[in-house]
Amino acid sequence: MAMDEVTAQGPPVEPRARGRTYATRKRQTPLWLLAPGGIYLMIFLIIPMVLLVFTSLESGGAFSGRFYFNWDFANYTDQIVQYKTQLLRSVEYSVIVTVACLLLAYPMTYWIAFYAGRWKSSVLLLILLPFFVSFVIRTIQWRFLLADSGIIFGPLKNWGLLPDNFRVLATPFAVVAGITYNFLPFTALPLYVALERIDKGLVEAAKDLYSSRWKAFLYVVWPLSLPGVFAAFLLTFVPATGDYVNASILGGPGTTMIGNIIQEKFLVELNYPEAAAMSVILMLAMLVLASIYARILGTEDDALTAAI
Amino acid sequence: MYYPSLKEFKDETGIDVNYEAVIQSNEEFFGKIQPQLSAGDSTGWDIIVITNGRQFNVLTGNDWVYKLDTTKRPNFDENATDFARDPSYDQGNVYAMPWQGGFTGIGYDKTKVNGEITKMDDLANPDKVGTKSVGMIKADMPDFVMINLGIDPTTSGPDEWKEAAAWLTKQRDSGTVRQYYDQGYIDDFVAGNTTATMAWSGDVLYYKVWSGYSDFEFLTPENGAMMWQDNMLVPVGAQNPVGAMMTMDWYYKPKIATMVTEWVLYLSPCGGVLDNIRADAAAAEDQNYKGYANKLAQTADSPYAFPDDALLAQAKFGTNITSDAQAEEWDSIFLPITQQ
Repeated sequence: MAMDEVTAQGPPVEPRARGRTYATRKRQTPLWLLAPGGIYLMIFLIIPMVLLVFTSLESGGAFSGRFYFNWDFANYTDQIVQYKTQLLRSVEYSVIVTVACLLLAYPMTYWIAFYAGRWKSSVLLLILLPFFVSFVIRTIQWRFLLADSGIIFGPLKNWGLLPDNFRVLATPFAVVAGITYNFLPFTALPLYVALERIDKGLVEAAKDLYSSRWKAFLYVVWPLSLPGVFAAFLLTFVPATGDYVNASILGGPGTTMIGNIIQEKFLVELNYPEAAAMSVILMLAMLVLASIYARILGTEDDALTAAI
Repeated sequence: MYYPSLKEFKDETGIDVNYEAVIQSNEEFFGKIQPQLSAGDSTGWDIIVITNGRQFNVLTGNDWVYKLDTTKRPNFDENATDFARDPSYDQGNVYAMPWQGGFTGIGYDKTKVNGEITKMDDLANPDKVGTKSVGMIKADMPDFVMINLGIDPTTSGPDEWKEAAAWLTKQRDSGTVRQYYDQGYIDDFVAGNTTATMAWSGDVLYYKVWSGYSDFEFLTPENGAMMWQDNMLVPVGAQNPVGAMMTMDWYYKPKIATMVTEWVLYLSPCGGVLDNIRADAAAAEDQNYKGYANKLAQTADSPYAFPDDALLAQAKFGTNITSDAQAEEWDSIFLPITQQ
């Protein structure tokens, strides 16, 4: 959207030679503005992606010291069959995480956007505060907090409030809860941006027209916040599906996610082609799911970019 | 960090060694240096330490590590223990000299298990160890199981691997397993989340001797002990291979090796360490450092830091995978157990 404005709102072309160079320069401006980010993405996103796809079609092994390209599509078909369970589980966990994050973050950001007043920045800072500590360290701290006889469950068990064999760690719940915690800020920030932009006058107008609070929310606030919901969904759902840290630190047998499989293929099996194929499959699956979601939600592009 | 053994090395040779404890696991570290090695670039390291196993074999098989000058290691020639010399995975110590070794056995907390733990099957018995309370070390468990089923991993093949996989599946279905660990099994054990765990000898010993966890026990199960060694290698492209070689040989001086063992409590590849520790314990006793003397005495008395011949005869190294086909077969048998 920002780019459109630059080109569309340019002043009328000025006369003759000087004008032409000016016009040319004017046309080139967006290109120059795009260049640094574009080049950066080209080098660190596009080229590695191409290499990833290339690797995913290779054969060979670590012991032979090299891999060679031979259009080995079996890397893809084998993986889908073999790791269907983990792929589905990752999507399942991620859906639960995303819904949980939205349910937790929406009321919170709604309050900040509408009622926090001069405390807005301070409260936002509180949401961002966990980012000051490394993701992995926070997750490891969870293991400390939730230890079977740790500082939370130890006393509860001693007082007889929990059975002795009660535990949270090494269960699917721990993994889902851990990812939810870790991704909550990713959900909260886009939601906040969308809610913050809503003109509070609209809610008053709805009330003036005899709308109840609930209906004002349902017909005014909620539709206007949808771009934020969509952005929050993308920023949470996509990385959460590929997460492997929570499953490996907080999980147990039966909580393996697709990210763990990819990690093991890369580092333990040293099977780079299959690991790359798995990564491509995951990316494509995310792309398809996100597109379906976009179609269902019917979010328009400019609303999405505005929210992001 | 201050490393007394390296300071003495510098004082004697003038070579400054920059020691960094950056290797979290063989897999992860290998993953980092593999792209450089396969592209023919230097890794930036003069010495790396890798456990015997797949990554070690890929490094030696592809000539990504230099062959050592076997004539230039007088301390090693004089003092290396029998198990450090000529191991099955590196005959003639052509590529590597062991740094430290250890046993993979069972660690358990006496107060948290029912009865005594003596054999591997106890780890699959919920009545003894409880449910969801056993830690398993992913990389070691196939060999650990094979050895305890009476199979020598060094001569094993797919049929034996499947036997081990069957035991592991049975164990998983028994409900005792809490987690399959890459690293970090010891944290869950110390936190009390696991009652019994596959464990490396030095880790459990360290907590018992130095951190006061007197209820911790370590043992190698009655059917066999799994042994491993972390090996010093010189990667191709090393800047100072001669200095590397001197450093490696330095740790085969009993006095220097003693410093390391007193700190890490693992299996020293250098002979003469036990006598030195006993002497240090006596000296500490004389100077009235009772606590320290006691800790040193416990280290010296540990059968896993200083194994007798019977234990060594029973101990075996893990499977020596040397080809992609073998590796693929192995992975297809064992990975599905943990990747549930």
